[in-house]
Amino acid sequence: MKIHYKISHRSGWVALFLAVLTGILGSGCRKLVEVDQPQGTVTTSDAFSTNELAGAVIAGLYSQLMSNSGSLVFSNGGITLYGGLTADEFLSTQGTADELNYPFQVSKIQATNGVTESVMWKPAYKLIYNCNMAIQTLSANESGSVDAKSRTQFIAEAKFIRAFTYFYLINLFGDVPLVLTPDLYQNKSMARTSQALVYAQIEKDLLDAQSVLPTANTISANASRIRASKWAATALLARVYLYEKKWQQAQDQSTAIIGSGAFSLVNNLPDVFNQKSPEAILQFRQDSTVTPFNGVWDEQNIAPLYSWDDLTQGAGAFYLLDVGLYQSLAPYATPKYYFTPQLAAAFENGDARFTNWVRATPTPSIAPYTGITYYYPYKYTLGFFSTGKSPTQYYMVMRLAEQYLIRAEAKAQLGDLSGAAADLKPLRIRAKLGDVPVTTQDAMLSAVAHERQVELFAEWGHRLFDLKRTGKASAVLGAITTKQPWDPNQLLYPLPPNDIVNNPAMTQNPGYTN
Amino acid sequence: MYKIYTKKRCVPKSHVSKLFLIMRLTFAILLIALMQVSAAGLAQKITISKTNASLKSVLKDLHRQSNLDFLYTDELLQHARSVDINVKGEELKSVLDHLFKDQPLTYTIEDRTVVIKEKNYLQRLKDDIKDLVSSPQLVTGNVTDAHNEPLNGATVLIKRTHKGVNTDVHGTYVLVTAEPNDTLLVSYIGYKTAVIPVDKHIIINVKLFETTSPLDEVVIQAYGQTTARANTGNISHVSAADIEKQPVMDPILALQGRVPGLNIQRQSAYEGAPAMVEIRGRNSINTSFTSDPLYIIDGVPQSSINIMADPNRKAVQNIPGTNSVYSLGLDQTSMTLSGGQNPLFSLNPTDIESIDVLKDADATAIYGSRGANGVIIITTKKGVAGADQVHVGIDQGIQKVTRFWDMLNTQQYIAMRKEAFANDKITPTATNAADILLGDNSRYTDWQKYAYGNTGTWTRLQMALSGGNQQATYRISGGYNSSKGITILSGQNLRASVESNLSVHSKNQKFNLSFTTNYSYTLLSQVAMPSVATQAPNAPNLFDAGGHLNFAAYKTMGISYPANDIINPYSGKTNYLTTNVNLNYNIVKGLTFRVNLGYNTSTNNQEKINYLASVDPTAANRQGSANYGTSNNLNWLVEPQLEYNRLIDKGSLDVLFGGTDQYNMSRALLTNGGGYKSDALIHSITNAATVRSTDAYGQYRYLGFFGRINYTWDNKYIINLNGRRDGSSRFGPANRFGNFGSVGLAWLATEEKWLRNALPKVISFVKLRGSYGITGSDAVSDYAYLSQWGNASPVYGDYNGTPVLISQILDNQDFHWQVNKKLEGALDLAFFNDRLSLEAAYYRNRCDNQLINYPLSEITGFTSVVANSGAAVQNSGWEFQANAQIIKGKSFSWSSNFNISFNNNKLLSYPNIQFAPQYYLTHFKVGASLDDQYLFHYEGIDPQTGHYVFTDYNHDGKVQSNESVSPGTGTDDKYYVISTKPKYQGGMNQQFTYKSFSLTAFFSFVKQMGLSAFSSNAGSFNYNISLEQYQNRWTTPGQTNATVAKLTTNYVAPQGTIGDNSFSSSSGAYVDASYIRLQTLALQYALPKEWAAKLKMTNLAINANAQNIFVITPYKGLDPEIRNYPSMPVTRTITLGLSANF
Repeated sequence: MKIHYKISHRSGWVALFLAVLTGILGSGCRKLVEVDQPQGTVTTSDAFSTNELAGAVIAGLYSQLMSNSGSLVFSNGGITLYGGLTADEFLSTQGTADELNYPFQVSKIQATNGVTESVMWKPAYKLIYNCNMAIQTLSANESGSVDAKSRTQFIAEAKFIRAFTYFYLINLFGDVPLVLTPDLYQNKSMARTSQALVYAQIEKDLLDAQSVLPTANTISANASRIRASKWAATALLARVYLYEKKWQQAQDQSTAIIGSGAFSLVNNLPDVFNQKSPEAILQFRQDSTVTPFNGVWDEQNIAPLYSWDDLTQGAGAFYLLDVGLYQSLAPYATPKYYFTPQLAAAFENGDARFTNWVRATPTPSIAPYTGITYYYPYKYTLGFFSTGKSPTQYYMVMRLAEQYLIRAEAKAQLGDLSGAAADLKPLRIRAKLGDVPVTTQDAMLSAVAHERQVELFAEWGHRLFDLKRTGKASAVLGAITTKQPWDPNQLLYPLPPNDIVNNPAMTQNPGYTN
Repeated sequence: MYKIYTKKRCVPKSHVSKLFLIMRLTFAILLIALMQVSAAGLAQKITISKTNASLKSVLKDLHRQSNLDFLYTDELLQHARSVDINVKGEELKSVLDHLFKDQPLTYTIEDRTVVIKEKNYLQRLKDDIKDLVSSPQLVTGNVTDAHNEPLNGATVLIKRTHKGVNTDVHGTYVLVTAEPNDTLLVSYIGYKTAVIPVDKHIIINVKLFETTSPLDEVVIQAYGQTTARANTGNISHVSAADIEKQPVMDPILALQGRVPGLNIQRQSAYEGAPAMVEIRGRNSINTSFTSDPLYIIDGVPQSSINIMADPNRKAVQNIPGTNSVYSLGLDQTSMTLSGGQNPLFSLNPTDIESIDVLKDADATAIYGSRGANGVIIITTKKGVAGADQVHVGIDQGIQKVTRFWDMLNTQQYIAMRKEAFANDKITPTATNAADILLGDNSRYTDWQKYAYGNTGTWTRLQMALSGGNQQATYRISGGYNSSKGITILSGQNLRASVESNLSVHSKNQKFNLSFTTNYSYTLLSQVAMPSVATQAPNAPNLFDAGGHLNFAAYKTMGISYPANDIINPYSGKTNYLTTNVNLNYNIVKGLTFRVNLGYNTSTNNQEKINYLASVDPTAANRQGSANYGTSNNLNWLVEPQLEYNRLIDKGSLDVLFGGTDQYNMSRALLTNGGGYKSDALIHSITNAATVRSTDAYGQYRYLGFFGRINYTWDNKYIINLNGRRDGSSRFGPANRFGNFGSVGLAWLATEEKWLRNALPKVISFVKLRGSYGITGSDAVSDYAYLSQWGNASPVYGDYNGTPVLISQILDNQDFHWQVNKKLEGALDLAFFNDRLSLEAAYYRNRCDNQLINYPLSEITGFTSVVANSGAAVQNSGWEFQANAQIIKGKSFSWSSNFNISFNNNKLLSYPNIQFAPQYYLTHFKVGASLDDQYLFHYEGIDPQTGHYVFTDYNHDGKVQSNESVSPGTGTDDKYYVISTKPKYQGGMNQQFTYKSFSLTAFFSFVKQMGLSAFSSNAGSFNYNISLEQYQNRWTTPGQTNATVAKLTTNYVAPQGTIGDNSFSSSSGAYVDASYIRLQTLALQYALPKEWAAKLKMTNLAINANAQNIFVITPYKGLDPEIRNYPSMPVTRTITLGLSANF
């Protein structure tokens, strides 16, 4: 008996010890190694756990498009600038001293030029990762606490932004890897996908978005035109069909918008880019009260600090007579980038768009100056660094005028020349210009192309993309003296060399060496 | 996992029973205390007759007849046998003897009471073993130390058979197989083995005395103790005696040069400054991992998470001229001027009993995933049983900079600047040469002495009470240590600490509780001074006549005021608490259950006010600002353990199993208040016009299950197996757990008779040992496996008033431990009865599965992700140690020790290094060391132009740097390799005692290269240079003996090439920075006992201690250790003190 008692006594201790250990290492073992969630950040499962948090992720997509932590990105002015330089819109006043950007102007970009990476490639794919994460997580979150309506809308917005981003990626870089999930292992060695397949995915995303997004996005107050709506998806779809030469579909989509009655052309040209402009289909909200700066880069990048007229108060001619005096003002009045002679000459006489949307800084005709006039875009009028004030203008992403131009072109392609002319008419009336004569299809297409050049100048690289998609790029740009010797490979930007190094499946665009 | 442990629990029952049957005998002994038999006799006559009667009824009869009381319990009599008795008129004594003859009980007669009790254990034992052993001699007794404290677990062996037993908690042993002429060997860790002939004795009590052989000194190992003789791993032991003699506030500095393989580089000379600590070289290629070992203070890991409150800064800092980093420690806001605060600064060195440095796999594998960089175990002093003692120590001293460098005086400076202008063909004007044209050229200030010429003070007060008895021991100590450093204008660096230890044993010695608390408060006061040290010698006073900052005078010389911060001191206050409870329960002899509970917390509060008075009164938008930083760190730990040891056959087996559950939390908060318009209101953040706060937070949880099996066969062969299964919160759910382990072997060759006889007598000890094992590192940042959303860094604007969430990192669920495979082989030798001992160890550590930021194609959305790389890093090297007691006389003795270590670091492999992140690509090469710096090769000075000439390695006509390719390839000309890590380092200690005098001298030495203090261009505005540079400058075409390029006011290299200002990244700027430093000199004189006795003291001693007496070095600069001139140099501290015991 006694012996038996002792055994149980001792084995009791051993059992207790083993119980403690198994307690730690057994059932609770995995749990015990877990720590609280990080405090400065939320995990993915939390980020999509409520309407509010998931909404913050979607708001983050727009913030990346517009603010991008205060630096230039393709979607807040990057494409306008570099697209304009690569095409025949802008020249740099600094010339070769503008080391990073000058190569775009003369079409001598090197793969090691970091601009295409930092402004376009990297932020675009970061944005796509965020979209993919949102689409995947919200789609899987069937019974989550994000309500069905918001979830549907958030997914659609993410799809729209993904399509929007891929649209610019393929137009800038050609074939690009079509990343559709956040999966690291799948993505890290992905090869480039043909543009046709990327376009197919863009169409699919846009059709999905179009089918569920409301006509006015009222997810938050005053948001109707600063977040993706059914019309934004339709407008981009119209543009995508146009680029794909699907004329009928392009016409249908643009008709849907024009015929909707939701939008109207703004007759007073200086008001076109105002916030809540009736012409706006999608704008990004700029907010000068938010840090870091969350505003239109077109002004910072291109316009001078003060306009010549404001600075000289009407005494401009006086300053042009004295080089010394001019020098004292020039740094404040000279734009960083100015119109190429081709763009300045493209406007017809009396085009109201030239008088309203273009400003000029003259130079003296005395050496070292040449008397050249620096024209620069003045679509955005708020001035440089208009911080602290609530801005009256938002960054225009898509507007009704483009839809008229899309339909005009689609109609011209389909043979409806008078229909095309009719669609150009409202824009020309607004510009105080007469009708376009209806003659041949080629003439009509040229007329549409011309109208696009002077209506959509300094907006989102339209000119470059138009030249490229219509096959006229080499003919037009190849004729420019400063771009000699002309290399058509320059029409596609180089991929970041690091990406080619880090991903063996990736190839560089032709004409570039790492 | 679940399965494994369930299985383990279900050991077949038959095995259990067998095990316990074998132990039955000893267990019985444990339960009974030793007693004496009382043999009093009484004369009552008894008559009684009964058959088969219960003992109880007979006792009742006896009570009636004898009138004596009988004391017993019914329970006691339960097992009594029934008795037959038939006596007439017999004496009570013989009746009782008859009654109890075959009972398991016995009796004593005390006064008029007969006390019935269980039979004395010796008698019962004899009864019990009668059948077990045929003709044994039983030997039993106690083993105690010199103070008669029982020694639990001492080994008692029979020399003839090499078999024996361990003592129990009372120090009691029982040997049943001894023969009358046997000899016993009684040994215990840290004590001299006693050799005792049995000589027919049955009870042999043994007293053991502490060892004098260094081979048998106790060293602390993971979860236990061992000795150099018995150890299979590599552990270096630094004892209190060595630490106390050094007047340093930071215990880590007391280790410099004392441990082979341990490289300590303090990052500045400020008190409390962090140090880079590297054991056997750098293992990680990831330049954000520190090489810090795992610190265990009284069983509690001192971990902190490297977070940073300021998102623009990093919690770890690069060490200039290396690829190594160090942690800012408790300063997770990056506010200190010393570049961080060492957490160990909070420990009082005089409270430390020992510091043990664990290096190889055998010693560290039981720490599993945290042991890759080695382990440093710090053990504080505990009370010892004996008379109560009061110790008081007082030390007071001064601090001074050891040397200054000759700088140009005003005349030389003006001449130097004029020459620079002449060389540049620039006419000095009031705008470009204000320092020589607008200043008061009759002024001369030695700014170096102005900055560092002060004398600091150093104070140490220490008081400790200790004592206790068998049941309880205690030690309470209070310490105060302060240093008013050479740059401190107000305040001081101080530490006030209280350490207490209480250890309680239960009466039966089976239960033991030890409770240790260490609390300290530290204050660091710092002022930034370096920018003044190099300014022009004619520069105006820093303060004007009114005692205000002299902005006006500096303005006239066109110099921006260099010392605004001189009135903006920094203060950092730290509260630190470590508590540790250790519970021991001896279940049965040899089997102990133990729980170690630890709690450690530190709070660091920092303040730096930038007073309005420190801002130029004429500056636009003049305002003051205040910065407040708080860093918190908390650790807790629970470690249950079960240890079993016993002797099996000729061997001794020790088995340990345990678990670890550890939690760590770190938090940092930085608050900046700005826009103060008055210094009167500046001390409250409430008055700030703008307030900006940033914070960071991290948690870490760690779980482990470990085991160790140590078997020593016949004191000759030792095998030590360690195993550990670890879980860490830093890895994704599927990769949290990993297995680590090691095997260590040792052969005590001199224990072999044949070898013993073959070896000459002078060789007293030969041991070969080796180990191999795997440890890991989880030093990756927390939460790196988790995809996260936030908006902290960088900040994105809100969109339409909606706050935004942006993905922050790319998660990788699949990374796991960095693995360090450690191999070691060592030879230990001792001569002349262990008076000279030598140890030589070779190690090779290979670290692979390196955790790095793996570069990614940006199409993944990110540029990198944390992942394991196939790159492998190898550290290999030799370590040598020698200890000698050269003279051991009655009045004079001389002992000496020496160590030296060599480490060779090598990047063994790096698959596809061409695709590596740019930093790795441009700093590391396969086959080369991680510590290598790639530099331009300096050829000399062009005698014609006076410019530095560098080798055009690729012969492309240009010497240039390309920071995007592997060094020395493509257009890059940086091919020359220099490492600033020590080639070898070590230390030498000499200790002399003569009667009551003792003298200790400790030298440390390092062989290394370092960046010259004078590598910047000479001749620029308001920048004074050393006389050395000035005298060796190039002056005239054709001059060939110049070592400094021609003076220039502002050298600009031709575009696309490098020029004179790249000298500091060339081989020419790296010089021999080796040194031998007399690091510690300590003299002690113990006053004669009689004198002390008159003062009612047991002893009284006078000490003079000094740190950094002199340094022998070819290095030109203030100090070869803190090289980044002109930051604060290392000072010399000399103290004088008294130490008394009551």
